[in-house]
Amino acid sequence: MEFVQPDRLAYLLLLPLLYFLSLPPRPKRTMVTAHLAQWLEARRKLARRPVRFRWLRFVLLAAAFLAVVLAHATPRLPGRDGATDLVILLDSSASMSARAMSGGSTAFDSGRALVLGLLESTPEHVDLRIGLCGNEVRVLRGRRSELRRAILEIAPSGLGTVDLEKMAHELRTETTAVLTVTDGLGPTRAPSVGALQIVGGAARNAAITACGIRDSWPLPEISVKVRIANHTEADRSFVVELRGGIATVVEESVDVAAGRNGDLEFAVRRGVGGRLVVRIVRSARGGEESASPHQDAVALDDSVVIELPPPPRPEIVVRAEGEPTPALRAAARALAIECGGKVVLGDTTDRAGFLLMEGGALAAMPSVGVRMLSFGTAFGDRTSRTPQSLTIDWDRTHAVTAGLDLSELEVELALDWTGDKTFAPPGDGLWHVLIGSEKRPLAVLLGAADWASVHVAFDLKDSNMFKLAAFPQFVRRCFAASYGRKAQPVVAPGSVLDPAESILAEQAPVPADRSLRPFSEDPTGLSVAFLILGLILLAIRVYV
Amino acid sequence: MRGGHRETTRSRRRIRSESGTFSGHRAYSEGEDIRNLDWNVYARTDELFLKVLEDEDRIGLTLVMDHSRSMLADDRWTAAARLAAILGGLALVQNHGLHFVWGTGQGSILQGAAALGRFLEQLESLTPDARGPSEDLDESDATSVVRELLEHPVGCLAWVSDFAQPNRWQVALAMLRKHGCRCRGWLPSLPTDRIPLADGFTRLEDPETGEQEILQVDAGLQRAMMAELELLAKQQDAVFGTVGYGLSRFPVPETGDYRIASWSGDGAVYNS
Repeated sequence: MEFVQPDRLAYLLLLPLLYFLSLPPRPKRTMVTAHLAQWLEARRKLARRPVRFRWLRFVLLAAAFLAVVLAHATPRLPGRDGATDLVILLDSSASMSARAMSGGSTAFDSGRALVLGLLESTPEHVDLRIGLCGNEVRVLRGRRSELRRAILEIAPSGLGTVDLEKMAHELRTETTAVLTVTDGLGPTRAPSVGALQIVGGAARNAAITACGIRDSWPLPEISVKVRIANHTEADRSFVVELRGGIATVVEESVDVAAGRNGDLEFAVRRGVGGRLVVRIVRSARGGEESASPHQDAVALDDSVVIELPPPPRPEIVVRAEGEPTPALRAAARALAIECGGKVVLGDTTDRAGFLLMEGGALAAMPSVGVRMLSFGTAFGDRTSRTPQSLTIDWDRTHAVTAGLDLSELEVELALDWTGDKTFAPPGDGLWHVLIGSEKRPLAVLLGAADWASVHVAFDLKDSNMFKLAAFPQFVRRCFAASYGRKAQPVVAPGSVLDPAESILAEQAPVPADRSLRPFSEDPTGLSVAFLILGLILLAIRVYV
Repeated sequence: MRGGHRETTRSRRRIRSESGTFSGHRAYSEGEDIRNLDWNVYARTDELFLKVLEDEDRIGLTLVMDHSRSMLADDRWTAAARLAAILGGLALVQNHGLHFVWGTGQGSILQGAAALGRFLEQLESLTPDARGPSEDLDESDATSVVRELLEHPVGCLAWVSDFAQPNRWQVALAMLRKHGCRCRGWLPSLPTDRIPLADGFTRLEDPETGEQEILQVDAGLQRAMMAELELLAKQQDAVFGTVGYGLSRFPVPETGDYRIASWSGDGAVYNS
């Protein structure tokens, strides 16, 4: 037993005072009487105690006082050392949604039931946190009732990219116990430290483990490559469907041996763009077609979602100081035909989907969001053109100029943008020299993630660029680059799972379950017990 | 007291009528009853001598004085001495023989009014028993006192005591009754015999046993004590009533109160 406030035991020094207070009062007078027997009989009939000091009564009073003082000093029994915090790492990756071959609940359901049981059984003083480990860690904490509601609402999704081993190592301390609830599948292995509970079992599964897309935007041609993994017990034929965002729904089938992968490539044309779903719609084993591919263990890995950019169909505004050169007009017309837009001549740039500008001058740099390609347009007061040397080079890695042959490009006069701060892009925008000559930029790309503009330092008439075979492609690429990410197809995040998440039939050896270490126990307070003891002693004293 | 008076008369008559056992002469003192003068001796010697008879034939009153320590309580002893002086004095002035007994058998036989002074001196010199508290007169002592008394003529027996423990007297009174003695108990009555005066924390001491007890006296205990005192009075009356004797309670006058003019069996008669 220990005392939280042992200094209060000093009240025991009052015991002598208690002794003196317990002494019977000194009689006011002494009277000699022959009737003492009658006095005693009268007192007996009134059931009164003799007025005298009695050691037993004093001992009971002193014991009661001692009990109260001890209670005041906050006595307690020492608790047990152990974990005061509990972190439950619940694997919420897609593989946790797998149902075992025997049917019944999913691994995640089993893990959820386990967590709910822990919420009930864990002592209240233990701080409990739940980390949902899918694509990222989502931490739940709060009161047990709130955690219970939150656990019931969540579902497994996404990749199991969280490193459970690392998390368990980082979170585990002297006072923090870590319990990992996982199926042992996925890119990361079950942690080797902390408590471990393996849930789920072997299951049959087929999955789309990879999906690639090559988009010719603004051209309508799209190529989609899909890899099918067959993690069932037999060779199967899988029918894959592409639906949404493209001109027509497409289906193709592929035979995949058991435990192997099979590839499919689709060549489709863009429709309205948007959500393109690649999905295994059927599978067949030896001519017996299954009713639904979703009967396999994990449905999340049977489909992939691709966000297709819509066709641009812009108004291409051609603007020039004077009459546009025929080459620029021709390039505008060709671009309009390819992407379904139209050419507009004039000064209006408000509704321009893409601005082709030749010559002239602008007071300032293009505002954010303006998509344009300019030739020889001066910015600010740097309007003088100087002769250009013959040595010209270009960036062979950039998407705009990669693969283009500009070796025969000749430029007579060009604006000198060397060291010009005008082109400093806003924010984290890009400033990239596409074509240059001896550290003198001749074509720069200016922009950010969702927009860009390309500015060429020379007029078409001062160069032979429009005569080059790469010129139309250069214009088209500048147009595509001006749309930035909006012109790029994107596989929806988490849509393609890690291949290991889908392998349910052959589970890798996983460690055996490890139980949680004991939690700490709070010290047991004894104040109330001592108070009750004091009251009992006082009650006994009444009858003594 | 009337009965006692008749007994006295009869005794006096016996002394006059019967010669008794002559034991000798003694010189006459002034104030003594001249009826006992031996005129023959006076004729021969021309001096006054009184005839002295055997004492046992002349006892008119046996006065037993309880001088136990319990008589010290509330100055009951003084009241008892005054009462004894009255009783013994009345007997002597009426020329009765007085057997004055105190303690456990000590006593003296007095005769005639001339012995009144000696009686009062004895009474005054008497103090409550100086023996230890535990040597109180108990039942066997009272019985032994009675046995000693019965060896002589008793006459009328007046027993002055507080009768604090009435049951102790049952056997002794029964023996007296058996031997045809006439007896009356005299109890000097104090106000505290009816109403307890103690209040608050009071140390009560029994003078006989020396036992002490501290009591917290309040109204409730006082009421209970009054009931006990009433019960004690009934027990005292019952002890005497059982053997046909009477018990008289003599209200103790205040110190210096000489208003008592006469005494009768019905109690004291006060001057107006």
